[in-house]
Amino acid sequence: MTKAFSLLFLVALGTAPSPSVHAVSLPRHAVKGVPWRAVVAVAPPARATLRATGPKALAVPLRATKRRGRYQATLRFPFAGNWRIAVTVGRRTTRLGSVAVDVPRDSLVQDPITIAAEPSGSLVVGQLQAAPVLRIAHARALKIADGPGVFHVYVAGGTTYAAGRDGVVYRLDGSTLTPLTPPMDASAVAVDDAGNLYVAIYVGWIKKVAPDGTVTTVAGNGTEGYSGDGGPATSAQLFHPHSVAIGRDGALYIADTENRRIRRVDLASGRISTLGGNVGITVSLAVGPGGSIYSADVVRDGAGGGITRTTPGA
Amino acid sequence: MTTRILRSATANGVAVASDGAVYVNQWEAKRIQLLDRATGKLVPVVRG
Repeated sequence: MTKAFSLLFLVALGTAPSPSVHAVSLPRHAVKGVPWRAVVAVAPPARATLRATGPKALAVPLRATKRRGRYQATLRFPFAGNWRIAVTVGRRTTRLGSVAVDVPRDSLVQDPITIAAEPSGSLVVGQLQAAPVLRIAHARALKIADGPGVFHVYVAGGTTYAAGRDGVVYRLDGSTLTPLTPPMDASAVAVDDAGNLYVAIYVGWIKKVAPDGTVTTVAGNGTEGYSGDGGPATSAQLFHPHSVAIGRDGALYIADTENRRIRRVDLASGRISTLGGNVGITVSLAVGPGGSIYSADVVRDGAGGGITRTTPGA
Repeated sequence: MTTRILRSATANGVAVASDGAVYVNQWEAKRIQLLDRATGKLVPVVRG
């Protein structure tokens, strides 16, 4: 009696009952290009479409399984990232959840300790152990040189430089790493427009190596500490500098790691200052197209880790 | 002024492309990821 009344009521309103949709199997993780399958239940049974929305929008029809009211669809996600999954029945769309899509493993990527951007938009990757130097283009890794193991890579004017684990600064010529310096405990290198190398040395120096091989000190007095702002950079203390970069303004920027600061050296006056605030245990610097200085920092004692952006003059 | 644009696990390296795209490498995780400017989350590019 009650069912009959409900049916009459719906007919009177001219509407159909709303479908009920729920996930039977919705794996939360997937790998780009590898089939991923979802199973959903639709009641009452009806034609339905599975939708995935992420870096692009996908829609595939759900196919009926042997079990009444159960449907399945298989997707190959074309991009990594987070995708939202929903099912549409008629005009109604029901959100079911999300899927984190990863990239497949690449055996060339063994020990990626450092990266730098090339003008073309690709990346150069240096690896810590004796693993190849890589180029990442279109989400694929290609070997570009056998490496001695490097601490740092730097791109200037389309040329790649590297600070090797052996303390030598190299330039990448084709598929060969050509030594530019003798072993000098280099942990990072930056290069200015004149071809001068600025070499970070862990104990607290930044050395300049001119194209003729002349070596001078640019910053640091070789003792650990945090001092010297406003004065000559060669009298200042640094604390385990891990990275260097030449800014858009022509200044030298130093990842002053244990001081958790970025130091700036005006190469015209030789004076040093501190740029911005606390950047954590900074181990890598990069310069953005607008001149901002980006810093990567590592976790220490359970805190920190991530990226900061500091804009000179702001 | 310093602004934190990503809080994550250890970031061992950063690179910024000419279009402003920010990439992060994580040594122990053997990953290179792109910082999605819209969501603030990391999107994997390659992994070992």
